[in-house]
Amino acid sequence: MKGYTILLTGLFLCFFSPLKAQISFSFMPEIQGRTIDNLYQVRIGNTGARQTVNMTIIVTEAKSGAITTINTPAFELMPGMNTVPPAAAYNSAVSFGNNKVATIVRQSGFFPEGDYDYCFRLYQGGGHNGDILAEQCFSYNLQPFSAMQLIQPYDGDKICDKRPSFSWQPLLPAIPGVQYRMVLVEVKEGQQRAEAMRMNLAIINQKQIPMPVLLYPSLANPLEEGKKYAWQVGAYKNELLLAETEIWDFTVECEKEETSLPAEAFRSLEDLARGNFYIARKQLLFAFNNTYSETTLSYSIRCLTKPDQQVKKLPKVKIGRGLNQVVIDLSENNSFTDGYYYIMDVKLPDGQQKQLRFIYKQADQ
Amino acid sequence: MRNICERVLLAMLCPLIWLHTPALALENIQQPVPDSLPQDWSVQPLTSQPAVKNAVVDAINRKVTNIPVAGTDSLPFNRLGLSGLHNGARKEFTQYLSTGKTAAGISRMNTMLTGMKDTAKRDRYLDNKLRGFYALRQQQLPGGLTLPSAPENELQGISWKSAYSDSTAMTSGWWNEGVLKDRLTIASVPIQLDYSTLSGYDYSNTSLRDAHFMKFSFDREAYLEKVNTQLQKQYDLDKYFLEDLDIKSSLKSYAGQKLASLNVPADSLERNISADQLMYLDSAQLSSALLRNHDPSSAYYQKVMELKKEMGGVKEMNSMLGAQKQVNGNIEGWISQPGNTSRMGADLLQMSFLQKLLLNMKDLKMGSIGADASKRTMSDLFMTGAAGSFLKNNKFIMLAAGKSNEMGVQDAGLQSATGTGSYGMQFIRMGRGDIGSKAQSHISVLNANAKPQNSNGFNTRAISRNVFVGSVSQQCSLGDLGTIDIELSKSSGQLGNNSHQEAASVSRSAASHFLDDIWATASVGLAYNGDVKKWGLSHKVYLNYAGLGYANPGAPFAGRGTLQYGLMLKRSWLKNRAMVSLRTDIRNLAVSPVSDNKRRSLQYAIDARYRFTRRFSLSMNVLENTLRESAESLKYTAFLNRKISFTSQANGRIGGKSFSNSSTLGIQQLDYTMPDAPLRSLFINAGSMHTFMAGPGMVVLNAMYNRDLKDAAVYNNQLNTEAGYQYMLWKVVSCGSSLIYMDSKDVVTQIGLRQQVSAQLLKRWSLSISVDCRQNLKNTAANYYYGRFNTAMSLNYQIK
Repeated sequence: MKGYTILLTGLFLCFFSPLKAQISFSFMPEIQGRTIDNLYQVRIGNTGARQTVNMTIIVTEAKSGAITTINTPAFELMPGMNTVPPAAAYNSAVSFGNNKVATIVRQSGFFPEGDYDYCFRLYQGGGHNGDILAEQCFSYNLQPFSAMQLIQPYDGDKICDKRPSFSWQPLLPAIPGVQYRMVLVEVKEGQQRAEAMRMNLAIINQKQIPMPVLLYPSLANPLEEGKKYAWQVGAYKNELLLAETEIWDFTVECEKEETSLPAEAFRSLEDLARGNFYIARKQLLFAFNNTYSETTLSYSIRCLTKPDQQVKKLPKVKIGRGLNQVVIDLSENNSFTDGYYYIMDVKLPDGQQKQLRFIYKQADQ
Repeated sequence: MRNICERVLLAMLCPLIWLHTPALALENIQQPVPDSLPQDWSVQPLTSQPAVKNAVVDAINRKVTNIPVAGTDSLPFNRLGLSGLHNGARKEFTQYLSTGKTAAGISRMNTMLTGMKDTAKRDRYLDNKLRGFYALRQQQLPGGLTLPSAPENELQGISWKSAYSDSTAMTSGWWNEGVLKDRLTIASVPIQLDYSTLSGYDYSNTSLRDAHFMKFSFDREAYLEKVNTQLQKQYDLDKYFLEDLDIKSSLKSYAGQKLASLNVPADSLERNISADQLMYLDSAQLSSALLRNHDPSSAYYQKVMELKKEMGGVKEMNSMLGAQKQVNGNIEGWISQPGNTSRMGADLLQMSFLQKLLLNMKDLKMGSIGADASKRTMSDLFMTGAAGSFLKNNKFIMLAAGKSNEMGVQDAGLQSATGTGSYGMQFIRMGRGDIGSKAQSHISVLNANAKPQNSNGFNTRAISRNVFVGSVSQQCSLGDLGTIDIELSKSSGQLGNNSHQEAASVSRSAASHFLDDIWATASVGLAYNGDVKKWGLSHKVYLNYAGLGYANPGAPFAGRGTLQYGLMLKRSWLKNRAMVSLRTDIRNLAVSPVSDNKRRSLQYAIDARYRFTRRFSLSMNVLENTLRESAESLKYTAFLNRKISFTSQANGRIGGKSFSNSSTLGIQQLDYTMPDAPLRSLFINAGSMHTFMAGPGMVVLNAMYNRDLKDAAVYNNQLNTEAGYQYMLWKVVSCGSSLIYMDSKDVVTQIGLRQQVSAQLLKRWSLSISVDCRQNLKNTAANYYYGRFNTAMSLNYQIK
């Protein structure tokens, strides 16, 4: 009798097992179990015929308990691999548990840290009390992805390098097979960076980056000075984009040698000495005739605004025979203060002494 | 529906009251931003300055021919204080007031001018019209005061770019970008039309993926320029501001007339007061002069003293006369800016309602647009829809509506699993002050509904979801100390379609649950920005918080579950020769609402630069960025990026030829957790770019070396060198030719040639082509990045 029972049980199992095995679920909780929308990426394998079904997804967390229950409306399950049709997904009824974890899921759609069970139950027909065609649960101890952050070049930075390196924080937790994709575009005049990111031809649109660093691709044309660029990094696995950073921008702008001072005419030292205060914009310009041999100009400068202030480190000025056009650069000399009054005593080679009064001004003011 | 509306309003009001923002405090709403003009006689109402008004009336009388006109005036000129206008001027002024008005409009105007209500408004109106009439360039009326209505079309430029690269890691080999820019002007309203297309061939799918973007935007600058041009054409604005009036003689003549009009017996004329005395004596002096000959109770004494009061004291008189020159200068500067004068356009030109409305429209665009307001309202959002902002009398309103798609054509080959999704949304922001202006105070509301994305080959699933976000943004000025920005935001999400549930009475509107789960769904931003000019110091301190449940579809890349704070200090010395900046960013990232586990990210960066001479400067960058995991049992550094680099920039002349050099030397530690094993590497980076003039062109030498001293990293062990020459051909073609050697250790070794040609053709066309061909000297299976061929071509037709 006992043997008979075992045989019957075996036959029963053999008979019903293939029926049960007609429908199977394929789900990757490490990727698809992170947001509520992605639960619908579950794939339903159907070796049987076409039929009308509906699905219930129940997510529970080990400590907090019930998180969410999703009931889809009826949809057609076709032979082969199926996903939940978008319309059925959109019109699902969703209820949530009464705990903090469920609150976060309800508000943001993201699952926070936890030990989750994801159960998929497929019912026959349109109601949730029909026959259960298949049920399968997946467990995963979920660590949410870190918010990826760009590092360098910093947002709004000005850099001179036309082939810069880019770096960002990696996606955590590290999942096998995760790679990075970086997009760099030019932001044209009048564009917002979000527009540039979508509408412009990318200068770099590089996938398969294994490290959170990218050296500027050797094959790509260098960046151009004066232009603004926007960049963004995404982490993906296979064809699934898992996380994206903010969009940052930077401008390529090298420090320029200060623009040359406006050409000013060289006025005769005679005139200047007779006149009122002369405005010296970062430099003193004057001209005089020298009938004597080459020598070094003998001159000194005193501050009138603050007489105790010493004017030091004046450059040596060489003068030749004939007309001399003298330029004395004062911009690098710390003795000069914007708006202060000065007087220069010059002893010309012929023995004449001249005095030139001037106001020192920064050129850009 | 009414129920929902009430709840929405309640939800908006509650946080406002809670936060006690001045945005709602009506009594705090300030007067419009005062004009940048000096508040003196030239801009003050003529009605309060009878002497000046009299001068204007005299000037008008001289300008307009006096033709005796039969009949009575249609306006009460005497009551309006314009009795001095002669008949010809009255007729033309009446005509000017009626120009472009319908019968109903004229009737309304007459009612206002003849009625007794709101005399202040009437005076303002009259003041503006009198000045306008005086400033008219041509006296032929009516006509000419409208904006040109003929439609115009101006093609501004077209461009096409194509690029091909065989690097396998590029998403697509071929990319094309086409852009067309056009400006259509209807009724003087310029609309910018931008069409662009982006397409690419995907390696996995040989079909072309393309996207088309159309954007219509109101060109504010061009519009104001048009209004200004028309205004300047019809009016002499110098005259509007009474710049050509000889105030001194006008005042004297006014005083003389007034004195003469005082009925004094002829035999006592010599004892009377002269115009000069009236103007230049103060009240006490005038009184004693009068008392010599008149009784203080006499009518003459009383009338003269009244006249003195009307004309103002000596101090005011002198400052008025003395300030005229300076005022003229200020006004000249003011009227040269289209933004200022166009505001006068609304009063002086005949403009339709729409044309007047657009004068205050800051921004209006439709189509494929980016929308930005602030970090917690709308930020870096790209959508298909419309957005506009309006600012008048310091009152601001911004409206936006559209649909955002999470993925674009450049994401070909990917499907989203980020959970941020695509949304249809409506947004309103309103309050006092412009965005970014000091003393702005705004409230914003965003309502969004999740939508699946089924375009560009993307097919995402989304659950029906409604998200409601309410925000308050405030900027306070601390004067010289800087500004404080405060932004508070709260989201509320409702998921799913409850139609199958019994609890159908539960509202699905997120707005009705706005006050639920406050801390989990709030986001707060505080920032202080300031500078001390004397010390060359600028600084910023900030604090941001976002709850784990905060979701804002208007800011798709905003963080959740973060507490972030940091500071930035920047100081320069010695006339900007030395500069140091310090930046720290600390972020605590929560992972769960029920545990204390978190991640902590710390970054600090120091940048320093010293300019030794005009031709040589040295800079340093120190950076450390770490990400630490902190769980109950485990605490470790999951990521560390530590770097120090020195860069020099030099330029000058060697042997009479100019050169420039930029060189970098750095060391970088990069440790992070990989799925299989931790990676610990130590890179040295060295790079130099040197250019110098040689012959007719310029030589460019470039070398970059990056090497992992620990041999742990597979990639980024690279030597890249280039030697090139840039030169001009036939004066219009600029060329660059480079030889390249690139070695990526254990991955690939290449030599190559890059050729670039760009030319300006027929003034408006420009063409640029670059080709880079490489030969692999060594190649391995690990080569994902380094292709052998890259070409790009761009053709531009630019009108402006």
